[in-house]
Amino acid sequence: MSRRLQASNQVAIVGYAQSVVERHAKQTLGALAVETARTAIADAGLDSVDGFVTGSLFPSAGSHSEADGVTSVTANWLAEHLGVNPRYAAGFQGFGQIPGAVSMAVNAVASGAATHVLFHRALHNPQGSYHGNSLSEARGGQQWTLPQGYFGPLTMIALPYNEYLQRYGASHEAMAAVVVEARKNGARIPWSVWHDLPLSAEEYLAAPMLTDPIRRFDCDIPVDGVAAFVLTSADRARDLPHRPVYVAGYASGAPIRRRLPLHWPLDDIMEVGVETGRRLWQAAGISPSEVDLPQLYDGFSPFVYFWLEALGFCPRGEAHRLVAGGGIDSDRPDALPVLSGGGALGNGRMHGVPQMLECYLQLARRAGPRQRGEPSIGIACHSSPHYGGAVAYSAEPY
Amino acid sequence: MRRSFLSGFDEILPYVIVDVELAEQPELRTLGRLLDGPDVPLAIGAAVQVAFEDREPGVSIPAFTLAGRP
Repeated sequence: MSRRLQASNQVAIVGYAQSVVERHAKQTLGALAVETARTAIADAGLDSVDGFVTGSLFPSAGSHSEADGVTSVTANWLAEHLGVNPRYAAGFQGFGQIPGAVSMAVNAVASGAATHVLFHRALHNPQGSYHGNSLSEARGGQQWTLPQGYFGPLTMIALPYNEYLQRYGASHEAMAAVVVEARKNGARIPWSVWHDLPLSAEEYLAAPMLTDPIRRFDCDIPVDGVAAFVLTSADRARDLPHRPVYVAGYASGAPIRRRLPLHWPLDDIMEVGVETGRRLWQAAGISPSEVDLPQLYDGFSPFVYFWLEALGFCPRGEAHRLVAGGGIDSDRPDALPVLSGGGALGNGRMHGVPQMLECYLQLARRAGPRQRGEPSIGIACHSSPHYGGAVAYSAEPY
Repeated sequence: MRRSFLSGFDEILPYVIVDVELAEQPELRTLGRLLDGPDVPLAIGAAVQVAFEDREPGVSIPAFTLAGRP
């Protein structure tokens, strides 16, 4: 039996909107989401939609009070504030919110649960320390990590990156190539928080070490920002103003070995990540060599190494050599342009939105001065290869 | 760790956390502070032994020290 997604290339993105990405927006997150959603619906040539999906997680370990419409925006909140009684509204729970929620949008359209689905992602930067937490009791799994002082995403990523550095003899200079590439491309993007602000390798290496071996610019910067995309069937897409970009397949992470909270050993990431990749290639019916627009997730820079290797773009342990040799320089015609959209490091903490947006803009031929010829297959990754996922996009149905 | 994000840890910064596999049960991994200080040379595969850190009366937290050091 074929593992190809039955709905492969039957659902397409037909419009989008991306807000300006700022450290702190002037409006509340909800107001920005309403405005961005309206722009996306109009961009698709529509008056309204009947489906809403998102993954609304507020990705902070800090002790902030959370409120729908302020720190996050759920699908139902957005539908209500657009004045729509939706036929379908749902949220993806867990990591990899972008591929998770896109898969729900595809399934809703393919099943007929909705005809036009708005996918959105709204991300908020609260006042005060992003991850600072005043909790004084640890329960459940955290009783084995918090008293030890093991807490938060920086610690989570420092451990597997340290394993990678030691196991494969990678240098800090190699990772500078990843961050410089993200910021180079982000500097070219008008809506990015880093617009016109490229970073040099010297600046990367001189920045403070936060949790060894993670430096300041290995981390994306928290922002306020919203992106929205409209998806509908390939049949309906033909009558809409913009060239459709088809969803060829998707995959989310496979079952994961049980660990302590935020304990992500390198072998877990890679073993499960390879399976995530295998599912993606099967669902889309393609191989890595057919991808001309890979967009890898980079919320922490080491994820770029992990995705390069998990998806088979280079052998295990070789990603650091590939990037150090200019292998991901989007200005070189022979390189893999894995951060041509700037990623999260080059746009701000928009999760996997920059990867999805770059796939859409390039495959719809809407990237303006950044247009990279006529790429045919893009993939947009989000989160870690083991907990996250990826979506394959195509410029033409196949 | 140069910053903990949790209250109560500032006075012991900087500190080192190690990911430890139990010799008695391969693949079972746990986390804890290494009590040898922040500047001790470390490599993956180094042997450790369990220790207990007394943080306050009645509160002892499992931790580790490098094994085989004089």
